[in-house]
Amino acid sequence: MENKILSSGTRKLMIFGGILLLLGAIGWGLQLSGGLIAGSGMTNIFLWGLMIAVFAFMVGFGAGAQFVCTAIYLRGKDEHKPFAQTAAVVAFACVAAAGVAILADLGAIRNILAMVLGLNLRSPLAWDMIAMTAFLVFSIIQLFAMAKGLSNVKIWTILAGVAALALQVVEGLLFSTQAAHAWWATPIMPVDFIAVAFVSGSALLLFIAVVKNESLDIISWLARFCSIAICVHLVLALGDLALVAFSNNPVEGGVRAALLANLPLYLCELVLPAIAMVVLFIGRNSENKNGYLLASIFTIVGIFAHRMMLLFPAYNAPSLYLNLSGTNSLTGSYPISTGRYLDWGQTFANTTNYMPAPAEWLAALLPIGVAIIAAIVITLVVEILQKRQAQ
Amino acid sequence: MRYAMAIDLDRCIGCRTCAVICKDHNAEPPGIWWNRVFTSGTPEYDKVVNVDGELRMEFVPISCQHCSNAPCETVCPTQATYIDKKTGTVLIDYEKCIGCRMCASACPYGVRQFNWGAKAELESTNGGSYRYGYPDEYRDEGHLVYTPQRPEGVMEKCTFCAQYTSQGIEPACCSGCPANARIFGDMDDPNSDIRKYLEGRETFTLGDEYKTEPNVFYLASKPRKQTNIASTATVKGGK
Repeated sequence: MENKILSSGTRKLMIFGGILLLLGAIGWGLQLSGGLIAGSGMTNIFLWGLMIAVFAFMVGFGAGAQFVCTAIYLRGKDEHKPFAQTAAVVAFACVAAAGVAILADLGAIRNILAMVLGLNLRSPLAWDMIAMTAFLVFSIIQLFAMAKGLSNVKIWTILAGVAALALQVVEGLLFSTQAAHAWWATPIMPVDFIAVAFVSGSALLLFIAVVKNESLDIISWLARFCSIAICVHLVLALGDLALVAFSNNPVEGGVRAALLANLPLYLCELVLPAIAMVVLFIGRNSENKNGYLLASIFTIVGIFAHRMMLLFPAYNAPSLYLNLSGTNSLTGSYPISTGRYLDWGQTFANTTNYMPAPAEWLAALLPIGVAIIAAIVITLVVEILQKRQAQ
Repeated sequence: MRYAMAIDLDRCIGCRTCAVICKDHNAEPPGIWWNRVFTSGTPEYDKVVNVDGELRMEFVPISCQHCSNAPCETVCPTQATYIDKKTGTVLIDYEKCIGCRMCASACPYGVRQFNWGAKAELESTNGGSYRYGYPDEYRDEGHLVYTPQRPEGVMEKCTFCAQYTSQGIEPACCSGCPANARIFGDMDDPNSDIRKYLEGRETFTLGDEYKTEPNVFYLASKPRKQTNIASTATVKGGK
């Protein structure tokens, strides 16, 4: 048994990841065969859907896991360094998966070469690609340095950490520079993207640490890390809410209406991490690992709700309100062509209820499958390199 | 040269001919509208609004505003959306668009239309199908900006009918408007139709808070007093 490359648990996880990847590929194939994202619940009003939420979700895990890895090296505790390697693997796998998510969301991937040949450096999406590529490069060098036991690992973890920070800032700017969406166009957005990454990464690694039965020392440290990050994120999220709550502008009124229309999801976003924060803070040195496990799951679910709630109040709050010409009389928002008349018979609307279509749910499994498979493969490669190094 | 359009709301009768002729000449697939006309003040069409006790009805046509500071052009990662240096028109190269939809997300006017997978084809009465739209593709210095074979998964929008204006013909919505509410031309040419029409008139642009510098200029409609004959008529035998 000891000669086997993969342990039984890892093999099961690999099969699970493979199934997700296969189902995801089928979902994506269905979307493409139906006429490029035809099998989706999106419209010309609700332009980004589940896949973009998954993208933001995965990139948050990746960057956050890197923050944890860098923090471990900066603290210099040698007994935590093996776990930093796990964090580095998770970071690479999740960001790579986020890259897959964004590619799978493109309507015309056939034109992807234009992203290289005609790159527009004024576009936040171009910088997103650059930051993501830079992070993946630093991340892989960092993993190689860890595998080879090089003395300069700390430098690479710092550089990868800076790249992860830049990635989150760019992600935040990608949303916050869109003046047409009041829910996004706030200075809080890029800062909160960093906070959410700290929350996501530490929660996921806390979950992994508990499942892998890591030492209580590292689990307690991650619990503290996560609870502080949740606190910062919740303050920023409530700041965002305050910006729209007290405005008389009709656009912000639309945001409030969209928040109320999706109240259960919005409450999930706020309440679940808040509960997790309290649990982690109160039981930060507890030996009962179930509390940590539950708190990490609550946080992950809450952050997924947060990523979905990036979209609803942004897209279902109309941006163009008209005045009756020659008067100050504001008359209302102006309808948009949904582009989905053939599917739903609805030609014009101010808002459209978004529910991911079955093909979208399936396709969203693709990046998750990629993350799992990538994490296992990279771990295996690093372990092989380390064994060779030791011989 | 800077192409622009003036829309005189006092002349617009809300017939939506501009929207239909635009769809027809630009091979817009079913469900896609580059041009739309609504009654100001209501999501429904053809309704009046009450302003200070007076009833008003105003139709506002909206299509791409061809902004000089176009957010769609800034955010496009592949330069598929670009501002044509010769005319100032905002165009999309269908062969460069990757379908990320960021441009539509950034546009405050909701005028960009993503092709979710619909062909510009309609069922005919004999069970077959027929195509519509200007029959030849048009390239602006190599950029594919119009084609009757609609590419799926890319963004599309008003081009000021680039396939026509490149031949010196005005956009279809202008030639089709029965009330001559739309006036097209070169804002840099003092003798152009649009410059002459706008001379001495007050205009406004949409969404000024977004600082997009639109090149579609609106002229306000004016309130008109009308006597309701029914309310003033004396009915024989009435009290």
